[in-house]
Amino acid sequence: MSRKIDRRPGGIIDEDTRRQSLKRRLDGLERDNYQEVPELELLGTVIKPRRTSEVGDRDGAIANKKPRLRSKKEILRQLYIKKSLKTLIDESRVELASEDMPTYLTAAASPSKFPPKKFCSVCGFLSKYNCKQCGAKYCSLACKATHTDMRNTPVVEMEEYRDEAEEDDVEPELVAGLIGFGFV
Amino acid sequence: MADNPILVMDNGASTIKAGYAKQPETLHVIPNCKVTRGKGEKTTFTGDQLHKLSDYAGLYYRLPFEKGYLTNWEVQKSLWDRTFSRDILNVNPTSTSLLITEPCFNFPNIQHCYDEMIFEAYEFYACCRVIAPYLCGYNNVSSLFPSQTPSVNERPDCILVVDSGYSFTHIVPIVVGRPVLTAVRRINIGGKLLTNHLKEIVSFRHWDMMDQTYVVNEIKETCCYVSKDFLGDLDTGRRNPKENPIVQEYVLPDFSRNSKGYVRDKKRSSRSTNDIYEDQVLRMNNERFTIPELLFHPSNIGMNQAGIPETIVESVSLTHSDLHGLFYSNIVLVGGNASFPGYKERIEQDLRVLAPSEYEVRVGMPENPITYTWHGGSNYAGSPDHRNKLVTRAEYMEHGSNICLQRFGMSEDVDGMQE
Repeated sequence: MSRKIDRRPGGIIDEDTRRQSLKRRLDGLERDNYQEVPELELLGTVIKPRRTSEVGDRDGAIANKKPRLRSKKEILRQLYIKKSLKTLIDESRVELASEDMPTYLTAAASPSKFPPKKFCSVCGFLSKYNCKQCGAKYCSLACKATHTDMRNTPVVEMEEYRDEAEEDDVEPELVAGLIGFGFV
Repeated sequence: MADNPILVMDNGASTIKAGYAKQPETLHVIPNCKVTRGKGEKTTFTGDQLHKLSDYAGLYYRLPFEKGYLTNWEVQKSLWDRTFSRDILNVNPTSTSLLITEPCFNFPNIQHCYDEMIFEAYEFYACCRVIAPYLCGYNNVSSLFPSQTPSVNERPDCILVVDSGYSFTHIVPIVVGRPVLTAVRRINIGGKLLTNHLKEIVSFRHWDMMDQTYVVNEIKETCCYVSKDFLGDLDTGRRNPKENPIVQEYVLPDFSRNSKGYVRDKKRSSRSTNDIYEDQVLRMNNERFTIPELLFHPSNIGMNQAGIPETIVESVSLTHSDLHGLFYSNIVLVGGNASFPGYKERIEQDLRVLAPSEYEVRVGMPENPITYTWHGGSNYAGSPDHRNKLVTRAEYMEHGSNICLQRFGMSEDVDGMQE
């Protein structure tokens, strides 16, 4: 939080912020909907989940036990507690698995051996130039102008994003302003 | 046990492929999502009801899967309810044996939820849970390689399944019907990411379509192709749009006159100006091939992973060196992304460059890469392999999830297969 971001027009965005905005862009590509609408998420809910304190034993060592005799309603109530994949991965403790056991984490493909190609963040053709402030690529003066026109908004948005991200681990809403600006 | 019908369900993140084993006519491909129109409207459309809509603008999606893993059981249950209902398959769980697919490296806590849902909530008579690429190998894989002299064996000993689906792409080497788990590799690029990326690009360059997932997905399926000469096509894209073979004009649906978008004939567009309605046109240029290109170069959007051909080489190199040649000559492409025109040819072309020259590279693609897994499952059902893995409800109630972990797991199978 002590890191300072130059807000002035022409300020240079540091490496860290660039990386973060890239990560955020990639996370944004996994969204189901552009904007989350909580009231629609709950539509058609028949059984309201109980508070987690009451059903906290779901991720314990149940696997070794015989299934308790429970009512179907109770089973569904527990299954319907929505957890994000991140929580589920943490709870599954796959990172503690022995090294020679293949898991989700070890199966990720390695980085490419070839250098990445560079694409204009505006028109998508190959580009030769970088924006000296944010590192976005552009291919021509026309594309540079488009890029410069819209650049100042995302700087502020990104700063907010970082503050949020540092305070808690909640994933913030994707901000419309960032789309397509190609902080890559 | 043999009297009970076997329901084969390939439960994908995008579509559920379900039907009774050995009865291909019962196969249904059902969208695995619930949609609402949003903006005050509360009617929900579940699975196949999506096809009944006439207006696909601004749909709000609820998907059971997150990054390829099942996390929202409430949505999933309502979709399964719909699939098992009299309207579609009319399943009576207590007398049915279920063969269901799960993603590779599913997490134990999520697997536990599968078991609870299947045995305790639905009370299926028996269940077998396997990873999807495993079932692909139960097809007549040899028939995908026509150049070969008729083979005695329908199933080659070594198969490399490239499953490029909605959430991610998996490369899975299979030796005599057993996946080599240590050599399985995952690229975090799937159809959903491609659609979302196209959505962002189109919204930035042309029309704001961030809420139009359905429409953009159709554009992707209609216009996009895998380029065989990427840099050459980029150059072509820069040329005058009028005589440019790459530029396409896609007429967007307005859901009053046309409910489906289509590619407009460029010559006609100039003289149709006397038409009182003006079509809303989206001009597709380099978007047509830079989107699927992400499968081959995820680094194009800054993702630090290699693409499909390079990852195939990585995966093969992790298997026993005696088998490398067999894997390179038995590559099977499945999953929705295989439907991009040029996909197979491009993988062949890139792989020929990357693979050691002494090996023959043969790539096969089934006619329908989306239902290929289901057909494999249909053959697999009732086989001795299937019977060995099957867990009945009685056994589950006796031993709990543990027995499922033991029977369905494939970890013991890999012994001695890797170097």
